Amino acid sequence: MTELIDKICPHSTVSTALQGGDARADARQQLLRFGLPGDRTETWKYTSLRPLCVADLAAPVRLADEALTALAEKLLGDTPAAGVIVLAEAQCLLLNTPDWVHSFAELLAQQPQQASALLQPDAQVREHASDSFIWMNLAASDHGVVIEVPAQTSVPAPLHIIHADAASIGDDSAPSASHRRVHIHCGEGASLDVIEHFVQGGGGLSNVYRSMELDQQASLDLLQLRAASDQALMLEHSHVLQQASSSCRLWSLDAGGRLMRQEVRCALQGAAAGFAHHGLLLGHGRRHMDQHVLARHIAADCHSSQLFRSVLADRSRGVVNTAASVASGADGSDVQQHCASILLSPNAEMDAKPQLEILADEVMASHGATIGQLDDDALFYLCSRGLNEQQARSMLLRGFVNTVLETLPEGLRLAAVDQLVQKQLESML
Amino acid sequence: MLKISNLHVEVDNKPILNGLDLHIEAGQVHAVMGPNGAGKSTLGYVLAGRDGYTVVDGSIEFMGQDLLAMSVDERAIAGVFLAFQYPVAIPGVNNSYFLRTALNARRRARGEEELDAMSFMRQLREQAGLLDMDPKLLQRSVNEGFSGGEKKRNEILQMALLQPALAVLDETDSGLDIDALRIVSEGVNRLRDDNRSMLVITHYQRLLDHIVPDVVHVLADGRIVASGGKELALKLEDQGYAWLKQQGDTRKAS
Ligand SMILES: Nc1ncnc2c1ncn2[C@@H]1O[C@H](COP(=O)(O)OP(=O)(O)OP(=O)(O)O)[C@@H](O)[C@H]1O
Ligand SMILES: [Mg+2]
Repeated sequence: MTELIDKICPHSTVSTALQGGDARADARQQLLRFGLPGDRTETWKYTSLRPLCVADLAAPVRLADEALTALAEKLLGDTPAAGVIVLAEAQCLLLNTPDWVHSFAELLAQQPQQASALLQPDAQVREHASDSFIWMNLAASDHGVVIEVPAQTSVPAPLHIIHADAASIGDDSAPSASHRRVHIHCGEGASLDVIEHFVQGGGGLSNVYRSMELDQQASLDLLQLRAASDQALMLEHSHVLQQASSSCRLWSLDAGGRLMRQEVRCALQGAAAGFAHHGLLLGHGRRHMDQHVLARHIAADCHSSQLFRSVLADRSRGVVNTAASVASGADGSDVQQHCASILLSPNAEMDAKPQLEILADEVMASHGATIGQLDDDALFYLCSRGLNEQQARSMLLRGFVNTVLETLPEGLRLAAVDQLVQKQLESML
Repeated sequence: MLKISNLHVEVDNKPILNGLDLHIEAGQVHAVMGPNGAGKSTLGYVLAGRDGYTVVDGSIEFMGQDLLAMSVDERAIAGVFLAFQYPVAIPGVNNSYFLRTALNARRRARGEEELDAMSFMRQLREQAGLLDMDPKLLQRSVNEGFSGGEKKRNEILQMALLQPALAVLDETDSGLDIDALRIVSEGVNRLRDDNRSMLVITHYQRLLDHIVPDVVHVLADGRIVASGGKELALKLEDQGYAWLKQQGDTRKAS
């Protein structure tokens, strides 16, 4: 076990190169104490770290800024952007970003006092093996981005975050393990859209720890476009803390990687706040995708919505765990969970588990999960109108995933979303 | 146009059609009536090519071609159209997008140019208007949450756009209110011409006042047991199917 930890989080990086002092050492100690999650860790029961165990991981390399800039230009073209942040194996590149966007490493170097708070676990981090990748991140994250949207600021275009590795720019350095931090704070009444593009081209690990804080009436929309190569390993934790009347909406379009797991926890701490996490899991080959979501209703009159659609081909596997807890006193909560899956192959597998714990009164709750195949009646209907089998299947799948895509607001409906989904669906038919 | 000979069809090893013969000339409208469970919808499905309906004997010739050798979409492109008794909902697929894809699939297969969005929308609105269809239905998911009558109108709208050579209407009148029955029938009548044939399945003589058939057939126990003119429908309305059964029994006895 420590061998694997040393492989993905070498001791040397922690002790010498990194700013952060004691906090780093404490986190490292927690990591060693809990060890990595295994098949006896409840929330990791369906997700094995085997792809990580067998991966050869070298030390992360610094990539040429020009190549990363070119990558961003190629990827985004004239897509509206309030700024672009490239997070590569060991660096953060800021392109035309507003002055409230900071490189995490620079912040650590220049304002260690302020930055050290980011090396403390937030209140939702558990002292348990389930959260070892957060502890690892706290111990070893050497780059990332810190976004502090000032109060009452409405950012007109989305910020783009690009997750890249050496292979994304055609550099043939060996795959590495990279630990990066993303922190977003939206001040009172601020509103921000963020689009994350995952375009890792190699088989390295990116371990992302996102913390997002929304003050009263703030709003954050975050779209994750996972288009990494079929070898990429992505382990992520996203923690959200919301004050009264704030709105946080998260969309995950998972159409890349060998292994992808994201654990999302949202604390609805102020009244009348809203949280949504909607996602598509599109799998082929041996891809494994796991979305673990927990919405915690702490204050009254909050609403949360968890909506997932999975289409799995070949030997791919999906895990969707949608959970909500409504604390006593959180009256008037509205909780929605729905997960539907289509298996295109007898070897594909889906584990969907909706969970609800309600300790309050007057709660509206609905949850459901279905797993099935493409509907024969619908296929026949479409073919009887002249569509060939391929067109009919493609149209049915498009319709199936549209349930999630239709919830995207205008500003996040990029052509890239359509392209990613269409390309992935075509590869599966 | 259509020549069905000695058709025997099984579903799950259960015989449903037992030696059905039916011959429709170009330009003709034939009505098929018959008791519940007689095999009327089965006939429609077999013509459209649905899986699970095994033809164990007999043949179907459509415009000189062996229909049974063709796939579902090939039949549609060749001009067969089935208006479903129970139209299927397709969640998440926009109705007008679906209609355009269907129309263009057909045009492409016939070497015609695809319709651009503008001219398609013009044509779609015009046809929907003729059927007095709420334009909102065009932007909703196909048949999802449509009322019974709205689904039936949507079937006729598809027929009007696709202009099939042979239209099989399976109880298109069920679930329609009185005005809708008239409007939908007018839609069907507009399509009648010398090169187009129709097979109208119904339980009610009433429909045949609007869509006047050339021939009326009674399908019972998987066979055509009686054929006649429009007056046959009136007699059925009046007397039910029992007399046919007696006739059949006498025939068997003799
Ligand atoms: N999948 C199936 N498995 C078993 N029996 C079936 C199946 N499909 C149809 N049948 C049977 O075939 C017979 C004919 O059905 P069909 O739907 O063609 O009748 P119909 O004449 O259209 O009746 P209705 O007037 O009620 O619409 C019925 O007895 C029905 O139960
Ligand atoms: Mg029927």
